[in-house]
This record gives sequence, C-alpha cells and structure tokens, in this order.
Amino acid sequence: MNEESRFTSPLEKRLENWEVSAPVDPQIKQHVLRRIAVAEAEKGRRSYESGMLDWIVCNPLAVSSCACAVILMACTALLLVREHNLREQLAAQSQSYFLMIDPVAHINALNGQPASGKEPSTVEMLAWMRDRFDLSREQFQDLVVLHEEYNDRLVTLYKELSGVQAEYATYETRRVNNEDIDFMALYDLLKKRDALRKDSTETSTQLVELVLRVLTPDQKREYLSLLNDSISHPEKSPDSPTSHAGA
Amino acid sequence: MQAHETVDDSQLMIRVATGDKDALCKLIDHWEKPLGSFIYRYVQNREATCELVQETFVRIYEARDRFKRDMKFSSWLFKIASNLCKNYYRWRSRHPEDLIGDDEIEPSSDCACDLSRPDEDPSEILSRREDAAKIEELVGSMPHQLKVALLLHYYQDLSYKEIAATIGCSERGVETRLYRARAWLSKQLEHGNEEKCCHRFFAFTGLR
Repeated sequence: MNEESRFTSPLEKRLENWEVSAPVDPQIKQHVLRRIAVAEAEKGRRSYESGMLDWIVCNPLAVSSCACAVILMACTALLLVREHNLREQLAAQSQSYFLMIDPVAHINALNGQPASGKEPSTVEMLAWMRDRFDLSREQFQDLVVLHEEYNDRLVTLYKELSGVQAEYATYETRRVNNEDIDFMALYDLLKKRDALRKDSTETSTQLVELVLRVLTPDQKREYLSLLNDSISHPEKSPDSPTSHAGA
Repeated sequence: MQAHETVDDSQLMIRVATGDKDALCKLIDHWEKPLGSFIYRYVQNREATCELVQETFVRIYEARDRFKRDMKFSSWLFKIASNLCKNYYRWRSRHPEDLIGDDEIEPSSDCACDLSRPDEDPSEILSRREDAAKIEELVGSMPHQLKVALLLHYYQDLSYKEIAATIGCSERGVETRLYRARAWLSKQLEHGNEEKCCHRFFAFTGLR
C-alpha cells in the first residue's frame, strides 16, 4: 500500500496535514539498558524469594527439620556457654579459696597491693566445694567449723604479712632513690617476714591436713589435684588490681 | 510515512531473545522515531512519549522469549506500545492532579513542524495549521481501537494484516475500524463546523 492510496479523500487530506515532531531522547539506549538492568535485578531478587517461599511451602518436613536443628544448635550453644561460664566461675572460686587458706600465696598474688573488697564468709568461701566435691551435709558442717577455727589465724597472718610487705616496699623505694637505709632494721624485717611465712605455711598445711581427713579418698584426690594446680599455676588473685585490669 | 520493517528486525529480535543487548540497541536505533511518532500522536505529551518509548523497549526485552519467528516485529512492537498508551490514558484519567505542569495539549500539531510551502498563501498555511490542530484534538479524544487503527494505517504505513495482528482482530475488522474512525472524525468535524458557524452567526447578530 503506497502513500497516495492512503490520503485521497478530503478527510484523508486533512489527516495528512497533521504532522508531528516527536521528542527524541538522545540517551534512550542508556536509559533502556539501565531500566532493564534494574528490572532484571528486581526479578532475580523476587524469583529467589518466591523460590524460597515455594520450597518452604513444598517441604514442610524439611523446613521443620531445619527449624528443629537450628533450635537444637542454639540450645547446645547456650548450654556450652553456660557450662563454660560455670567452669570459669568454679575455677575462680577454687583459686580464691586456696589463696584464702595460704596467706603467702595470697600476698604474692596481690603483688604487695592491699586486698580490696569485702572478705567472703566461710560458708560462701566453701560453697564451691560443696558443689564440686558433692559434700555431704556433715562433711560441709565439719569443713565450715574447721575453716572458722583457722580463719582468724589466717586473716591475722595475712594482715601481718601485708604490713611487713608494705614496710619492705618502703625500703625498696628508698633503695631505688639512693636514700639512707637502716640495714639492721631491714634485716629484722626480713627475719620477721620469714618467720611469718613459715608460720603461715605451717598453718595452711595443718588446715589442709585436717580438711583431707574430712574428705573421702576421691574427694581428697580431687582436692589435692586442685591444690597442686593452684601451686603450680599461681594465678592472680581475683581481687588483685592487675586481675581487675585484665578483666 | 514509510515502511520501517526490514527482514533484519526479526533476526535482531531472535538475537535479543538470546539476551543480546547490542541487537536491542540496533532495534532501538531503527524504531525509536516511528515508535515515538506513534506514541506522541496517541498521548500528545512529550514527557510521557519519552517514558513510553523507553518502557516499550524494556517490555520488548522482558517479553523476548515470547517472540516467534513468524511474527511481524512491527505488529508486536505497536501492540505493546498501544497497550502502554491505553494504560497511560487510563492512569491519566484517574490521576488528573498529576498533569499539573504537563506540556500537553499544544494546539496546532505541536507547532513544531513547518506546514508551509514556498508558494503557499499565508491564509492557507494558517488554515491548514488550524485544521491539523483540530485533527489532533479529535484524534486525542477518539476511542482506543479506532485511534490505534487510524494512527497505524495513516501514519505508520502498516498493512491491514499488520494492524490486525496489532489490534488482535481480522483484516475485515481493521477495515471496519478505519471506516468507523473516518466516520467519527467526519461527524466531529462537521459538528465542529456547525458550531463554528453558529458562533459566527451569534457573534454577528449580537445574540450571544
């Protein structure tokens, strides 16, 4: 069909007069390609979502299995974290206990710094043992009585040792600053410290021996194992400043 | 007015179907102007035309898998475009507030083309411009199917067969639509002339 055949009648002649200059977009290709890219990205996202949804709808058993697995994993993780925390707490408590019954180790752990915080009661101090060793009521009562008997003595020794340690630190400061030092007094102080240490060690040993008498063989073994760990790996006391800083 | 389709269009579309965007760019180069002209005559709005031309090519790419070798590309292209134009009109009738600031309804055939001929009387030129503006206004208010048939037949040089494939009817149906479109236009123009005469008469006698 050619042009002449289309605009023949008067009306068609009038139609022929209607000419337009349509707008031309110089960047039409870029615009179209960009819109296609956006549409494809959106389509990909939707198909992934609908695919997931379809899979979920079609596989309720698998979905519930996955959900159960996730819940189980979450519970296991929670339990593991809790157990880990409990172990750490128990380790800190046992460490704290062995420092309390050994003033020399306690002083060393604190590195000459004064102890901070409130001293725990004997029951509090022994609570971990009841859980750890599964102590009977009688055993626990015996141990509480035993530790209370020694507690005052141990606290006194610890305070005296702290005082001597403080005095020794003063001498040390004077020595570092090249100040005059009364070596006789220092000698006396060191002798006093040695005596206190010896006394402390003997007291602690006595207490440990008495504690061992209360415990069953299995409990003894575990108690000694913990004591050895405490001696071979002397950690910082929980109330030492450096320990707090580390935390 | 010319036949735009070449044998290459279908070949290019087959390449587009494989995701070849260079082929799409070639189709854009080839069809941007005729498509823009069709859409602009339909929606009579420059911004909407640019938007709908872009959207047509995006739709073509998205629907590339549905293109068949025996299809005439032009029919498919104008089918998509005419549907978009129809939807645009529907949307526009529902959102008249969004037309604020639009550049549409410019009388006298967009005023962008020069209808004058060197040896033509200025009054003739003016008359033809007024005529073109009237045609534009009337086509703008024409029913969708009549409008598509008219625009594709007179301004895109499509055959009855191609128009039939675009509209989705028989060739006989295209003939009928074109007949109705011409009759509708004649009636409107006649009515407009009568009204014009009445206006002149009343203005002359001072009865208005």
